[in-house]
Amino acid sequence: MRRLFDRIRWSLRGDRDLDEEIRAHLEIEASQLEAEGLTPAAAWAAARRRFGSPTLARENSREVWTFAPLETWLQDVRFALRLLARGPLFTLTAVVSLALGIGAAVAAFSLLDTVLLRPLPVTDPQQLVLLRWVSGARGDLLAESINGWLGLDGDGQRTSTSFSCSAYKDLAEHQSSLTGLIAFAEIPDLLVGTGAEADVSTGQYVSGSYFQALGLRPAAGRLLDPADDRRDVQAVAVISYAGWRSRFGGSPSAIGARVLLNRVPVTIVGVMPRAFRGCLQIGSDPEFTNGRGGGLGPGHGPRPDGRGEPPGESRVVRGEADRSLDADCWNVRPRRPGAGRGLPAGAPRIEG
Amino acid sequence: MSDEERLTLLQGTLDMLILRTLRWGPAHGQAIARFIQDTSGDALLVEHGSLYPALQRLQQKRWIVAEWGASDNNRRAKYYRLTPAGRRQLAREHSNWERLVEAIGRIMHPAAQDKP
Repeated sequence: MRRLFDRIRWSLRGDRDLDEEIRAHLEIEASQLEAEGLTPAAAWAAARRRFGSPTLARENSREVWTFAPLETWLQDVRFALRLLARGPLFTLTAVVSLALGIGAAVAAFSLLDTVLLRPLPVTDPQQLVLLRWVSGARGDLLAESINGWLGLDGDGQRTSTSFSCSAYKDLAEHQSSLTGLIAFAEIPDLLVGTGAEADVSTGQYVSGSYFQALGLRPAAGRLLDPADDRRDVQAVAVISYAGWRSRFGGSPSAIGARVLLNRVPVTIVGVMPRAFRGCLQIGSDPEFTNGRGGGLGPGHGPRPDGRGEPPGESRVVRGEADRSLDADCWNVRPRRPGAGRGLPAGAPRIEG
Repeated sequence: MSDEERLTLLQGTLDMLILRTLRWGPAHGQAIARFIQDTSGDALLVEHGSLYPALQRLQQKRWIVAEWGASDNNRRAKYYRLTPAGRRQLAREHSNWERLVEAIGRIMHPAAQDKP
């Protein structure tokens, strides 16, 4: 430590000190030689000759004090960079491989982090269940009307987590085994107009029960409630925390501000909690969350997401959902002449 | 004495000579070089390119300390002074040196050692 301090002190004024010391040396030597009988010019020349190279003395003295290993290391770095610059193709290959490798590792870890290590920032996330239906034998016909995720389950039957609005409404009114039922759907492209500017962002539609059932509290203003589901109310939206910061600088004046969402005038009534980014796909971060009221209504399939007893009780939910789906399908049938009786034997299953 | 006739200092001996010179009291670089040259009968020429690094090295080991002072002709010069640790080091190097000279002497003059 003391040595480090010495070195710093030397690097601050060592060079200047040494220069003065060498000058003094030469002058004293010259004056002595002069006293011994040399002419001033000859004395000075002899002094210089005896001293040898002042630069060498300075360099050698420097080395004693300064961070020689660090300087050598810097030289190595410079040399390496020069070599890399000389072989641009090799450098490119190396850099790209490193970037891909690091990128893949980071992506894999952030996915694992989101899925496994970080539960949804809502109250009691372990109580949430996601409903999906599984088609009967001829369910492929039904699939035509599905928006959103649609896949095959293990038995080769069509399955999806998208439900019609009427199925959702019916289930919400008649179910009793869940403490709350919510629905949400992504709006992949949302044209946002603020004053003279417009840009494309993302959003989601949610049922009015959404925020209450998830137990979320607003960062500012208010969140949506079941009253926002009604068609005759003013269209309102909740903005994400990130959107609040970037569009309004986190200002309270954002509450009550009017924006155009897909050309519909909407009033912002509140800000979502900072940690919450909805429960759509991993990585999605909807900026605006709209209710279904006020003419903003969704075109299609919100996803019902139940809150209630853990999967062990799923049989009850299942029965209720079956009834709702059956009722829905019977309602729909007259408008879809091609859909035969008994077609959509939908039986939503509960996924933990 | 011409430069060719002068002896080259053995590695490491310069440090000892500097410490020895400073036993007489504080001195600046030029005086140290002059003293070694004159006392050796002009046989040793201290390379100044190695004198100053040696002075830095000795300071770093805390065997000598430096401070600015005025020279005989009122020139500002840096004076080096022996520390107690430097004094101990000098004693050590001195005895090492004598053992070295004796050992080399035995090899170079075997006959001289045979005498009782």
